[in-house]
Amino acid sequence: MTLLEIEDLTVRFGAGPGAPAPVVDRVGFSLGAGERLGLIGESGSGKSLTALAIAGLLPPGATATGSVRLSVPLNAGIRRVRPVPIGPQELLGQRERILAGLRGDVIGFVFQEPLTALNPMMRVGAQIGEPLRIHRGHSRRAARAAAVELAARVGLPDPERIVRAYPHQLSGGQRQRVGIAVALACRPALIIADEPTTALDVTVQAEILRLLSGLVHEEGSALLFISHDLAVVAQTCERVAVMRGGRILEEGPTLDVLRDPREPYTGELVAAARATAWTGVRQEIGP
Amino acid sequence: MTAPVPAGERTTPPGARAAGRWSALLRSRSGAAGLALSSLVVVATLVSFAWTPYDPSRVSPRESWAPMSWEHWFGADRLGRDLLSLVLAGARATLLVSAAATVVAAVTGTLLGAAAAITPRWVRAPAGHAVDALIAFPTLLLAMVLVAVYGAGTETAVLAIGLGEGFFVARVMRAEMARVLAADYVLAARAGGASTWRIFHEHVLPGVLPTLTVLLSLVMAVAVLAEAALSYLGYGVPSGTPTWGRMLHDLQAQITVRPLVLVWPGVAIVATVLGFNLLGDGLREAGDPRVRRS
Repeated sequence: MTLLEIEDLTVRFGAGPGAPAPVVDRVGFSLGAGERLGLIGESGSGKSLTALAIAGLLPPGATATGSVRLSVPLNAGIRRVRPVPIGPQELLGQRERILAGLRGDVIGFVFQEPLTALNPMMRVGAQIGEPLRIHRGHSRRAARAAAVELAARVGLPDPERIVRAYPHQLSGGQRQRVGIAVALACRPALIIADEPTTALDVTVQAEILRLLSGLVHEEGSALLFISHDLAVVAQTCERVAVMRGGRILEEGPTLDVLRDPREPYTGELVAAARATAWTGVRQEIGP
Repeated sequence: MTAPVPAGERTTPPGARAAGRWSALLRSRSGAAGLALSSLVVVATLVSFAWTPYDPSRVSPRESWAPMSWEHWFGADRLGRDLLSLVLAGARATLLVSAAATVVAAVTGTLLGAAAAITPRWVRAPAGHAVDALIAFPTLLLAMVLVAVYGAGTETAVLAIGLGEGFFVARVMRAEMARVLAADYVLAARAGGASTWRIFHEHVLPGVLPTLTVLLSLVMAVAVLAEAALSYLGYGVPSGTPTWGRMLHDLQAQITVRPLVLVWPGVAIVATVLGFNLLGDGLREAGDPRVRRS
């Protein structure tokens, strides 16, 4: 079943004849339920804006055209505070109320920089529980209890204590575990991870990547994984799309794209990845 | 996800959080000093309702400009009124006006600031321009307009000072709220499905609270002095009521002859202003987990 289908997605800043060229240009791809797609490209290639456009989170001044269709699954036995329409539906131009009902519930986000993506004035537990309070109507107490469980699931040490900590009291890796717990709180069908390991050191990167992969697998969620790092994408995703200058250059199964790139740019990326972390990656992807 | 509360799991008891704030306030040096100083002022004000050494309006021509003595600790003024009694009684109107004006400023500033920062663009843009225009409007002129409409009185003084300062608070709040709204964690909250209202009270208000606390302690200080200025012009508190501002004004001619008489209302104002400033500083420290000493 197709979970997410994007066609001709174009994002531009400003409108009219004098407007600059679109930053995302006629992008299209689809993502099945439980599938993992890596979106790879250099900074400025439009990959993050693509992700934000899917959930209607574009910054002010940016407009999106085209089509983003999401099949909202019917989760039996789940009480939704804000009812959302079930089944395939267009997200572009959708009312903000409905989009807000989908965000955090059907679409979970993991951000790049866990320190700034967490509110410094709020306890970690309150932030993990926030989507549950919003979408499932949990009381403060129930949300905190759920936060302890989620903290344990993402491998945070001493979850009972850590939910009472503030973000600045945690290490970078722990903060990103919190970020993943926030994204997973409502068991979303789609998780969008925007460079989730870029701000971390290499050893922690591998841990977080393994955690994210494992949890996405357990939950059966689809994953849209955005990165500039081919090696990281290769470890996580079965399919990969290469973006440059706002367009998708090529897309296919990760192994095919890596072994036999059709675009010279992809070839360059592969060569660069081979030069840095290739040895480890080959073991990870396997045959 | 329906997570049963694990047995033995104890969430923070409701009182513990507040107690943590209090002890954090007392641990910060400025918080403790500010709390002590402002409590002293508040206690003195409360005492004045029940007791002052003399009736503050008792005129005694024989004791005109009586020096400091056991009978008159702070001395007496030209009409022979006891200065200590006047300072104590003056605290009532002064504190009432400045505290009420601070509340008005806090509410006006936060609401206007929010209107200029968070609302949809068609509200936000005019609200922003309104704040810019209103901040250029002198408090004194505002007071004159209000006096023309409602007549002079305590309420007019409170409203004039509160609104005038409120526009200034709104200007700062707009910028502060815009700063918080641009933060990554607000985007993250939106990505979690938070509504604008939820973002406002869960993220924006706590985010601007430290700045607001410090700002309001300044506003309170300015209000004490503004009340004096308004009373001086006859726009404020009725003329029979003693206030520190009015005392300063009445006594200022004596500065070269009897400088000591001016010291008392002056010290009272300084103690109040300093007390509330330090308290504001302490509250900010206690409210911010990143600088709180624990």
